[in-house]
Parts: sequence; C-alpha cells; structure tokens
Amino acid sequence: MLPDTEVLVVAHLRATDAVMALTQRVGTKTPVSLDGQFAKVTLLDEGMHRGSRALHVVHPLVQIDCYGSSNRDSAHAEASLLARTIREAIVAMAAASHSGAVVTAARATQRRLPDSELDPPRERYIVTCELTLHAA
Amino acid sequence: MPRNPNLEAELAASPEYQAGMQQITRIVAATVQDQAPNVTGYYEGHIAAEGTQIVASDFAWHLVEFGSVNNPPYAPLRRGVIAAGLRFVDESRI
Repeated sequence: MLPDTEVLVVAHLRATDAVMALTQRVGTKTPVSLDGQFAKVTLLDEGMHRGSRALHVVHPLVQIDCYGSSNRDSAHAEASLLARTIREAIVAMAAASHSGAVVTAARATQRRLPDSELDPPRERYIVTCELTLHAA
Repeated sequence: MPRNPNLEAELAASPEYQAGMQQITRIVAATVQDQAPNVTGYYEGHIAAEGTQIVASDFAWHLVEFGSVNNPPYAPLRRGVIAAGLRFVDESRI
C-alpha cells in the first residue's frame, strides 16, 4: 500500500538533525503556541504517474510552511534558515531510506510569503515540494 | 535535410498555436474554479483566462492558495493545473 505522504515527510524532517537543531515543532497542524518557529506540512495533491495503470508510482505535491518566531528582529532570518534547511532535506529524500516508501525524485522551491493573518504579520517561507515515490 | 533552429519559436508565434494555447488556458481556468473552496463564489468569480495566462484578481487569493495560521492551503491554482492534466512546475515568481 502507498505510504501516507505527510507522515513520510514529517518523519524524514524529524530524522534530519539540521532541521531538529532549528525547531522540533514539525508536524501537520498549527501548534497551539505561535511564539517559536515551526514548520507545517500539508499534502496538496497526489496524482498517479502518467501511463501507470496500477496504483504504484505517485507524484505528491506538498506545501511546507516555515514560520519564524515572534521575535521581530530575528524572525526573517529564522524563517529563511528553516526554509533553506528543510528544502535541502526534502531534496535529499531521494537519496535517503524511508520506512515503507521509496522516493525516486524530490524537487523543492521556496518563496517568501509573510502570514498576514497574524498581528503583526509573521515571517513565513513556503517550500513547495514535488515528490515521486512508491511503496517499498 | 537541415533542421530549423527557430521552429519552436515560429510555431509558437502562429495564430493557430496561440488559439490552441488560449483554448487550453480557458480549460485550466475552469478546473482552477472547480478546485476552489465553494463558500461564497467570490474567488471563482475572480479567476479569468487572459490570453495564455490565468489571473486571480481576488484580493485574498494568496490566503486561498497558500493558507495561513487560520486557513488551510486550498491551492486551487496549483491543483487546477494538475487536475487539467498538465504538469505543474513551480517557478516561484512571487
């Protein structure tokens, strides 16, 4: 059976020391406290590989919101560093081993988009990930 | 027979090619509207195909597309491209 992509990505990020050195708050929900930096993983789409009749290879599209802390002096740098670190970790997924899944390709882009729903607006980078994977 | 290095550019400039691309753009715009959250209809009403571009003129389009602490990312633009059968490539131009 195909793995749960959000679980796969969160597990990989939590197993990446460089990410954990910045924040341990990596998950699929917005944390209760918004003071510190955090990353939120959301699966947007998960289409089948073109030409594949069997449900084997899929192309998940994943968004990772990388928030800086509420410290206005350091928030931009924190969000940027978190996004760049996570982007590097995502691209490394193709070379890493995973529980129940084989990632054959991983691509990630990032853009700065502060979250204007918070007052004051919070620094945020969005990492958009395109993965290709199948069950192990 | 020598190859024409300008073939792709010449084809892209032809009226038939432009008409085909504009037709595809209208189809993709319709799938973007299908992927939008069906709450007020405001967002869907502000999606338009203009030439070979899809324009989202809702002032809060970025909240619908990318979400916030209070909203999930519905991503109608990105998911609409995929739903229309195209390959989505993120160029990060915002």
